[in-house]
Amino acid sequence: MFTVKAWSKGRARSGILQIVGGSSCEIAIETPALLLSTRKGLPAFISPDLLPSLPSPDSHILQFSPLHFLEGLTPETMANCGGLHQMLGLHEYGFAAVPRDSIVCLPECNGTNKIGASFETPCGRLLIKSLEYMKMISSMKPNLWATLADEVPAWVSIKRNKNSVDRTVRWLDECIALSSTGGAVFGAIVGGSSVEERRRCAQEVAKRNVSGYWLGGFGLGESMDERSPLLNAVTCMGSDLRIIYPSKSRGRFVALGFQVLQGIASGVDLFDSTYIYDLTIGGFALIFPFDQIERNVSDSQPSAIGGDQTKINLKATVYRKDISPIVDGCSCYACQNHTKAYINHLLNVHEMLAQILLEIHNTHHYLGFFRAIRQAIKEGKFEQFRQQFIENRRHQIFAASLAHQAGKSCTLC
Amino acid sequence: MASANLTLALYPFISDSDIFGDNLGLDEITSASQSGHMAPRLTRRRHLATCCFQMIQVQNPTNPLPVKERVAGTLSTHPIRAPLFVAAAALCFFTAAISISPVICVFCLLHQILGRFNRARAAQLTLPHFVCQTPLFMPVGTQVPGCKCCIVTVAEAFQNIVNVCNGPLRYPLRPLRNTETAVTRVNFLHTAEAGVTGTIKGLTTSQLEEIGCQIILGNTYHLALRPTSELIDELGGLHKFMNWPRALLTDSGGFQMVSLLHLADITEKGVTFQSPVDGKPMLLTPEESIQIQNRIGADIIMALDDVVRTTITGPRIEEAMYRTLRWIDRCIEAHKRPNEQNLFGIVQGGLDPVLRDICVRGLVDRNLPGYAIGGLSGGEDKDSFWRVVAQCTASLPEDKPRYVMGVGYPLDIVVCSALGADMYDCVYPTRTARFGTALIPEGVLKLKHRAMADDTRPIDPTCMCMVCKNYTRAYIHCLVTKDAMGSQLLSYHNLYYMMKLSNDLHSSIIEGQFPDGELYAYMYPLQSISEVIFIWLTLHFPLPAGLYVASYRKCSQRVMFPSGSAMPWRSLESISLPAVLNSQHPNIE
Repeated sequence: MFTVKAWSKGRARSGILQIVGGSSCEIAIETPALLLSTRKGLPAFISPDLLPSLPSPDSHILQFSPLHFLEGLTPETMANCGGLHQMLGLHEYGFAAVPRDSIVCLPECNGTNKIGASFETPCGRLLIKSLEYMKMISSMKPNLWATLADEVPAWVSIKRNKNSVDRTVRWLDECIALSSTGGAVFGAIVGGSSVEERRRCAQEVAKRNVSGYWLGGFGLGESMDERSPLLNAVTCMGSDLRIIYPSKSRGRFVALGFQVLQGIASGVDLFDSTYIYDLTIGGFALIFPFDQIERNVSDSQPSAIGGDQTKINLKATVYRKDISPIVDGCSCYACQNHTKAYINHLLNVHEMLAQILLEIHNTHHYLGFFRAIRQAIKEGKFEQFRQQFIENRRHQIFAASLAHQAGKSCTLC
Repeated sequence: MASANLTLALYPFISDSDIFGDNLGLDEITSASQSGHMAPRLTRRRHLATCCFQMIQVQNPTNPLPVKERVAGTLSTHPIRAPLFVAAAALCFFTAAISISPVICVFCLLHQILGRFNRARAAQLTLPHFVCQTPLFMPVGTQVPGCKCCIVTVAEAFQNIVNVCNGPLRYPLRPLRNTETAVTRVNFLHTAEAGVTGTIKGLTTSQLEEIGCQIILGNTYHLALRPTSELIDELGGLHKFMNWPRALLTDSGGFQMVSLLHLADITEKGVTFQSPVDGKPMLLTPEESIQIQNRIGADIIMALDDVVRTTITGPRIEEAMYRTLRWIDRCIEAHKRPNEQNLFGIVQGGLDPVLRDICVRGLVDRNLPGYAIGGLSGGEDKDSFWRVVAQCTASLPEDKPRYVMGVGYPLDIVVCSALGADMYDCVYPTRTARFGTALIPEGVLKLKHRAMADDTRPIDPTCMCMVCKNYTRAYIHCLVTKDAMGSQLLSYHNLYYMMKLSNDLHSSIIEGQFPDGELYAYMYPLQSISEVIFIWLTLHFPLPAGLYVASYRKCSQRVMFPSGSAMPWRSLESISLPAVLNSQHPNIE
């Protein structure tokens, strides 16, 4: 199912993940790849007939949270519908089930006990036991699924952290025992911000029959610097693993771009990010150039208002009369058909079409970033790519702050 | 000088001044002459005169369409008209040879009737941006959900009392959950209240094309507030702004002033309203409305009318009607792009047949490219509504499109089409979708209902749309009113349903099957056969032999069908009211 094709210096690697979608169509996805986050199996705003306009096959792997369906659909009905592929009519797509989604279904460590994991969901706080969870999984028949985890924030006590590892490993055993479908099992790895616990958890999980690892408990209070050793602690063993790394993205893109690059540098293959959703809701569009290694140009001027050099806020009044597409030369549906002025207007009048167009563009753009990373790994230039990225960011931030200061001094004069 | 001569030359043919108003089709003339109402010679002459006049109108050098094609639209469709056509063409070329100036305004619209069945007609409407097939439904996107809401209780709905609250209330509207019947009533009262802000809620323009939308309706009021008509003009018009290749229609903005805003005051000058931006009083005059619409650049623009609720009685309705007639002249005067945009006049006059007739005659005298029947769907009962439509369609010219404003229930569209109307607009399909209701042939399907949670059938098994092909009721049930995708998918389905309905109407009129049993079975699974027969009677008997009117019961039934989980369209009460409709020639004192 998963084969590594190229290694760069260090742990960064590129591979191919082969999965079988609904009605047995084969999908081959190159890693490192992005899992598109969805609400109930469909992207938040992109309707299924617009999905094919996204780059293929990069966009053909979707992440969903089984807990979303607790709002309306029983596992029995799901099973009657014939699983998620059948129910959504997306046969050429792969689905990865992850208990939490980082948007509306969040882990709640205080509510979790030895019986099950607690989540804040749109239908209230729920305690999910492994039995219930497996019932959902077997009715939905996802291609990959992560086991139930007790995710704890970075600041919990050592004892609670230890407990969470023990529980997670126990639930892993239960889930594997209860699993009846052919989906690939991804063992959850937790351990908060303790390298030892992380390592212990990873070793325990590696003993089981799992096809991959899901790194849980990130983005819950640990710092960026702490993260590298934590990641390295769990990715040091094994060579043929797929790993989902939920990057918590409530922050600036710089951090996120670094996070993705950091994850890839540690050997993470699949990324499950809510970044696109957050951008779309905020009215932002990604504009950063991701093929800068190839072009080697840094002619970007600090002119974009209402954003940094990576994204623009289309709500800003400067785009009121801007009849250019979001990114010149972008081949996404939004850039091919609509202008910044129109999206600005749609945002002003709170029309949902704005979010549809923004999500299409941002997904398209972000997938392009991943494509550039894969290219760099294949050419053995990943470290260069990463350095360049960081360098450019620093340069831009510096230039922006200079411009800001210049503007300030001007107003003072 | 030449044009004066020509008018004089035509004059002998014209027995009275009403040459535009009495633009009867030859069918009607023939039938009238058979029954001895008119002298056939006179009517033929009058008809020739009218045709000649139209010939002259199309002689505009700036007009993009060739003369022959335009004339063909009004004349050559009928075999009896062919000799007239030749005669008229000869006259036309003669006048062209002496190079007369164009007589009056020229149309960039061609309405070609392809088929008829009794009063129903199927036509091809050629607009600058698109060739449309009528009857057609125009979707209306809705304005910001946060800016207004309607709070109605079931009890109030029974009495048709509706409070429209303006205010920054947040969507979704919790109190509406148990009053969905009421909501549909509110839709009915305020069908046109919400407007496109240059988009249909949650659908991309490519999806709209895929569904088969031919014309989209935009609200002048909303577009003029944001992003402002000047900006749209600067960016190359609304078509370019929203990247919509097909036709567009903008309304005058008057209805929103009245329905959405407090303290709207209508005077002879225009509509004074409180600006939602800064609260200052603002004035929208007919001239300004047309200027704004000229800047927006839609294919069809509407004249500013004085809108009153049909439930109001008394002299106010008369005042509004006469004011609408006075304003239409100001609108025509102010219209700067008659070669690119078609100005439609709006027939007002409440439920009073006499007032309606005066208004129709007044508008027909102005010889506009098309006519709209306005002031309806404001809470009046079905009997009066259909009666007004029947009266107006009977006296409006045959060769011009007729647009019934704010009509959106499938049943109403079928009935109005049977009565000879061509165009409809309503927010109902998209709005009801946001409340979780799907339109299906059997009626409506409330997807919020618990029974849908384990229903693995598609919304409508006979529907061929993307949603019905892929999704089950159960899946849509868990999306609606919770996720954005729910309203996107349901809007898609509902619009597809409306487009399919218009297409079916078009083709069944052409094939002469309208209304036939099949369409009926398709439209209404009525509980008793008598109701089916009854409806059939209503539509089958050509007017004015007698219009039997089916009336809706006061509220919709809240019972589930035993076969499926559908709510029926309002069940029809089989009370036949022989509405005496002397619509073709009403007696006017």
